[in-house]
Amino acid sequence: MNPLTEVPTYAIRNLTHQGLRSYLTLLGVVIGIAAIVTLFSLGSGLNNAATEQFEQLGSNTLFVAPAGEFGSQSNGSSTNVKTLSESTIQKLKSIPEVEVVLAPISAPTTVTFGREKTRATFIATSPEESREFQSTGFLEFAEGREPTSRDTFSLIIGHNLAKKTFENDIRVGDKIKIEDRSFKVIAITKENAQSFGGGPNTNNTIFGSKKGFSQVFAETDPVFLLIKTKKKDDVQLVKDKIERVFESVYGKDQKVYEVQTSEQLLQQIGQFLGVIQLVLVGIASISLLVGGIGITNTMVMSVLERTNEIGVMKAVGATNTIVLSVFLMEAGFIGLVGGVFGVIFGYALAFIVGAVSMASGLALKVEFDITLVIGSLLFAMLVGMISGFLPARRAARMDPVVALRGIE
Amino acid sequence: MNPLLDAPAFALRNLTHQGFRSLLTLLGVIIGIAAIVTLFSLGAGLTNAVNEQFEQLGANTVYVMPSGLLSGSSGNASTNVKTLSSSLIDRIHNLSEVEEVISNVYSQGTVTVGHQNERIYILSISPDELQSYVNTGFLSLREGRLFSSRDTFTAILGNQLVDDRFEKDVRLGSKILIEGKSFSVVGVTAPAAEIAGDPASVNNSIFIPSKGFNQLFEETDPLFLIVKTNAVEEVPLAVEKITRLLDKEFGRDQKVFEAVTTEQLQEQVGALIGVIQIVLVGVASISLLVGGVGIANTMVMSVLERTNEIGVMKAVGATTHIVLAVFLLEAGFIGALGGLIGLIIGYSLAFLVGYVANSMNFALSIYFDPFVALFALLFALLVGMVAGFLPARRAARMDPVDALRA
Repeated sequence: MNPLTEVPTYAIRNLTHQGLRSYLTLLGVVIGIAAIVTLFSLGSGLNNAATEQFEQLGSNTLFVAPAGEFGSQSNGSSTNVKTLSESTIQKLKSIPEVEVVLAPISAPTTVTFGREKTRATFIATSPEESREFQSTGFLEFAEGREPTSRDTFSLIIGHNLAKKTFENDIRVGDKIKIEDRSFKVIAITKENAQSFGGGPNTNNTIFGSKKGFSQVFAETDPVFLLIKTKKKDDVQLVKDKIERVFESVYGKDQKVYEVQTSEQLLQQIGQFLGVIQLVLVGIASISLLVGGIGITNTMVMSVLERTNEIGVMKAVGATNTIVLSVFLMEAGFIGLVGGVFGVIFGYALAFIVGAVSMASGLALKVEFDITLVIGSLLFAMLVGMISGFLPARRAARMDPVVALRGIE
Repeated sequence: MNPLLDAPAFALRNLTHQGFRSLLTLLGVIIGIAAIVTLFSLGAGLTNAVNEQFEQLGANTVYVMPSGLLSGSSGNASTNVKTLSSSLIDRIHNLSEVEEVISNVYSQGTVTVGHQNERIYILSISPDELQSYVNTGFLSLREGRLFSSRDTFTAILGNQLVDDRFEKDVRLGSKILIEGKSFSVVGVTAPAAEIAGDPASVNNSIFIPSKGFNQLFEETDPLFLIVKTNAVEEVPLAVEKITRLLDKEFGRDQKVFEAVTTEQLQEQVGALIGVIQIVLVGVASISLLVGGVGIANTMVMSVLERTNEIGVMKAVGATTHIVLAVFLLEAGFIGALGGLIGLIIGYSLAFLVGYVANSMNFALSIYFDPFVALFALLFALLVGMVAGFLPARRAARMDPVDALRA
């Protein structure tokens, strides 16, 4: 008798003979693992989508924003944001490793189309900056033409503003009012999915020229910069140099402006999403705990019913270890099979939710993650074996004589 | 034989005889219900805490704030945010219904203590406003004094700044630099419960007199106003009049600022927390589902084991309905009992978390809600009966002859 091959075969045979009871026990594990896999994948999906949108802007990009505006849920409530003067921007441009400094200026504003009004963010760029946004794929036109240096009261309208906000769709050539000043729509952006946690997005944005912006708004110095380095390896070096420029302007150890690499920003978003993921997966794990209790229950029954059988096994020479491993394997096997089905259902659900979410405009990129699959399967098996341990030990410790006499 | 009395008694007796198996099945339901009750109570506790903080300011309060702030549609850092001009604030103050206007002006500023630089929310406040903050219980001092009309470069510090954030020992009379200007510390706030996500909580901010604030920062028009009406009944009229003033300032049908009542604000915050609550309770419900599967499993076995007994019951005249009732009641009883214990554990856990959160200055007001309790019990009972239905029907439909022979 070879315990290594016979014990598993025996354990599996026992399970398949138990029918409905095993299926129901299995179902508990399936639901638990499916819930964990789904929620985990959805969390990762949000993170993937955010990563992708930042990567569009390039990993050689640095972001400059007022201190405290990164990461925190800023509601623009501080009215005393210091702006970046033209001379500061010139100093940043003269850093040799810097390829381009994008200094879009923005303001929340009221948009009037026909008789309807809505609120949107107006971002003003120079034609050069607009081209740069296009080349990175951040700004893509669905229709219309590119702005030129001659454009003043011309606008590029975000997809949702054009197609979803007003009763009538805005078309290229239409006139809309920004703060009571008439502008002409020259292009409409492509729809892009909104990433969770505040990634950049153009759907509800209006792009216009800086000249036009300055006719409507008082303050035209930027508070937010995108800086691209010539080489990806220079990012850290440029970050240090930018910080030194800010210190020379705002004083040593200044905390007026912050510089962040796209990596750092992604890390912050990742941390934020990670916490949500952890909470949801943690709560979902409770159902696996309950599923584990189901396994314990089944194994207790199984041991009781097979008292006689255990007696026979021991009488013909099975050691405590072999009896223990038979029942442990049986429990682990329930966990494992439940895990397999759970992973399948979990991923199916996650992909469906991902597809629905993308269709409704929230960026969610569910990807198959082999580590998650293996982790879930091992975890399910472990839960099964832990749940089965006490019943299995009870079986292993039975006195063969009592066990044989046990069930008449 | 009275089925109404006998069936429950019989169901109960069966359960207690099954011992360990019933206990484990019960445990599944207990955990599921406890998870649901805990998470629901925590969500409700957060809503309660927020409501209480608003209520501290009184029901006769109207808030003026940027539109869409709570729905999250506001923009990012920008210098072109519209503010409430002082002439507009005067006009609001002059409304006959309005008793008092507290303008909420604040800015992030660089604060220097010794060699340490920190970015901290600096709140501008007039002596009168500070006094009404104290009167409403919104703020209290741990040590020191409030501002008088003579104060300019004085500061009241949040307790956490003094206790944790500043490395150097800061005491009453100490000097700190705010945006390079020297301020002397005249007071320290008492710890106040914090609403989650509020960056400018009293524990972590610095209050300075408006006179001093205006010397540090250029633009000092506020984005938030707290308007007190003479009486609660005048609130709707005041909202209407303020909205008309805002429309006049920013254009008809403007969506720049809105005037909302305490009730509306509570509703909006409640809706936000409600979404989180639904998600968490929804995920926790999965464990109750698994617990229900456990009940189904136990009932299947119970029916199988008692085939003989079912045969006897039917042979002595039990109708299909009575057999169904016995097994349904048994399953429902597991659910209800699990629900009861789960409810107790769930609330204990919620109260414990609430206690810990409060001792960490995180506002969370957990209350026992009889509706939640009743609903949880009924839900658990229902889950048990639904889970037990198929096995019970199997038992009820057995042919007495086959069952006796089995």
